[in-house]
Amino acid sequence: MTSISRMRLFAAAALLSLGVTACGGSAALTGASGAQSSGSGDPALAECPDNGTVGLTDTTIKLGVSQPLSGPLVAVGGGFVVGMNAYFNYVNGNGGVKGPDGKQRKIELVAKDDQYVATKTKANVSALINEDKVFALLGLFGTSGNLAARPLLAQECVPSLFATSGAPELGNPDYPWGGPAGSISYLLEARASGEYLKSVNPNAKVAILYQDDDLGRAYLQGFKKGIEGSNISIVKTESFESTDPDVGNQITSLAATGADTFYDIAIGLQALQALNHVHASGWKPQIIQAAQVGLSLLKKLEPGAGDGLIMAGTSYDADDPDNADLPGIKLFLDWLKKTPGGEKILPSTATAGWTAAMFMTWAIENAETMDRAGVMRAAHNMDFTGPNFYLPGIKLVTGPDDHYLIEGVVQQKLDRKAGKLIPLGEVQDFNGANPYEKITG
Amino acid sequence: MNTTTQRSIIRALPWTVGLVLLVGAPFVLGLTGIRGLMQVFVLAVAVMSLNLLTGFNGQPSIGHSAFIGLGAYATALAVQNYGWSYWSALPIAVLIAGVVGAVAGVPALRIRGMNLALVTMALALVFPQVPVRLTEWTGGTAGLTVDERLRAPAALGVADVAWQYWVLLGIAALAFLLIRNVVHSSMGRAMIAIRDQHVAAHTVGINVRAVKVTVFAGSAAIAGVAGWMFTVTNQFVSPGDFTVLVSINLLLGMAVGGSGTLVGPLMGALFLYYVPEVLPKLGVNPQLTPAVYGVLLILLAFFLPGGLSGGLRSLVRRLSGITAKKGVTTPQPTLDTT
Repeated sequence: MTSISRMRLFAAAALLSLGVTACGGSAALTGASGAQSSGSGDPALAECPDNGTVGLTDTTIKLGVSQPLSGPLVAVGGGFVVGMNAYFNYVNGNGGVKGPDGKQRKIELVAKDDQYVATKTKANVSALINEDKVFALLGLFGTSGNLAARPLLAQECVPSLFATSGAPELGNPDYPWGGPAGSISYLLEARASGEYLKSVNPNAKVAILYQDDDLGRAYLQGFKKGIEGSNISIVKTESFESTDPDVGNQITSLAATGADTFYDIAIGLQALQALNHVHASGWKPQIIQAAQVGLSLLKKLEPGAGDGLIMAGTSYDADDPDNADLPGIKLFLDWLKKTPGGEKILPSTATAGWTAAMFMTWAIENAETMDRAGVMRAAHNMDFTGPNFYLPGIKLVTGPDDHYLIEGVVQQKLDRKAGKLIPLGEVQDFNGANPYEKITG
Repeated sequence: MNTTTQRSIIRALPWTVGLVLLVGAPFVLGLTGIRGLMQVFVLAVAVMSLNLLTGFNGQPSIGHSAFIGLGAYATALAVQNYGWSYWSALPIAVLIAGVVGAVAGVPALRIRGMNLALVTMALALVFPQVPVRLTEWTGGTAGLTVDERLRAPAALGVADVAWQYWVLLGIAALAFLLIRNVVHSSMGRAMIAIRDQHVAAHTVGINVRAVKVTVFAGSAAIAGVAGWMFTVTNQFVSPGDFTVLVSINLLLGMAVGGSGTLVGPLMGALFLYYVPEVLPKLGVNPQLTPAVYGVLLILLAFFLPGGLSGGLRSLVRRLSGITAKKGVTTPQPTLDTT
């Protein structure tokens, strides 16, 4: 009897629910329907909901960002958001950003913490779009987070621009709402290093250490592309996992080849570890370092280690007092000081946030229409010439078929004694000659 | 209506109201709320699977992130790389996780307690490296995006996300009923007997080896279902989503909700999802969130050793004056230390 009564109750509940199903509707129930009336015939807008001006008022524009604001990468994410706030404080201090409709709007930034977990990034993006009703996203952190959020961005037709990642995949033209990235692509940087080596040592014998993941493989593919058509040979490659406690064995094995060039495709402390091991082993190759370590970290190498290494650079060092009077850096440092949290951090940790905010502001100012599609298109037709940190000669240009913003580098040599990276020549410019390429390795 | 029937209806009432509210949620909540509840359902099934093994059978596991990951990756690969439907990927996800679970359960015949926990932890540590090794196939550390979503039948005329929500709710409810029925069956009694008195259970004729391996496999298979639900919800998998921290979180969820209880995993899942969500909204600095989270856990361990469900049960008893224990009531060891 008792179980029958309970079953009746559940059945009644189910029927009641079905009845409600037949009657009502909400955003979650009806989902995205109704195409955005862009009138452009742009295939990217074909299935867009009619939401192009969400996040805009006559006086404000709301933007969103997801960064690791807790967990092991908090220093990166925290600095990024401070840099972003500094730039938006500067813009708002001057009255706001002026869009194509002639209205001047103050920028409101909503920052969420993803702890560098891709699905949290995606959940944050969903909340920023549906709950906080942001107009656009910028500076999303990490390759996996950006890729996780990409289908959602395409579905909701919300631009997510100037991501904090160098994954070549972010330049995939099939996903215009998720790009361009705010960093140079790993593949392109490695290609530039390969081409540089080809020009200075066309018969080099190279030993390579690489992180066995999408980043390491993108670097490897780019480097191989760069040395194509030369007599350079890769005599040995050794891989490691990002979780490996030590890379000493790999360095011993690479040193045994006696190669004249060592390419260190490692990040942060593991890169330092590799460079220290090379120095300790007595092997004296020309070192090429993937640009995944800042100068402040390179200064922590053991005495003598890494001296003379070559690393591709795109921007001035904001921590170097010699650069403090450069127009772009002066403006940045002035506003960083005025921003809460700005005095506690190393300026270089905030530069990426500042530039992402700067590019975003440019895209809003240069959009043809004041809606999401307009800003997305502007980001894919950029020609930024304002004060910035980038080295002279690096063009900040995108195009409808060129979804990579930063496509130039200057090779630099580490001078341990001076504690500086010294430029070795002119900019290697790949603008327009860097089509999207899938990582196949 | 006799007294027994009345009492039965009273007992079923909260469940019925809860079910109606949950079924009707897509009519009221926005997309963020619905997606949040979907994450809760995934966590609930994951904690339920762990609770079946650890809470009811006393076999600790820190390897459940691997079983969930297997289910999630099996689904993502089947749908994205081979064009299968989500529904046809479901049995594969369950099967793969279940078989690996059965194999992982074999060491449990020899070792128990902390040593078993360490063995399963090895599984959790190794699993994230597997997709990285198979980057060409899985997308490596960058993860694998699943372009196709679980679509609603056209005849229903509802949004896909609402359909996904109801599917996940239905599966979570089925998993709950399945575990409830297992726990109330002779198998359930055998599981609890093994947990509480390992030698005595053997003495009274329970096939301890068979029960242990079966529970391990069943628990892993349910974790595989949670993995399938994860992919349906996120349309994305990456090694970072299935680290050993996920396993530890599930153990926390189980302890907070109340291990060895049926309702505990549901409460644990709510805690795991909503506490980190709510704290920043209350103005807590994101950097301090883990610390606040930790303090809350310590307070719960001190003041509610039976977890939230234990606390709720005491409260209900106090309010209703009922002192007699009903249904499955068990002590709350979270780890078998015998």
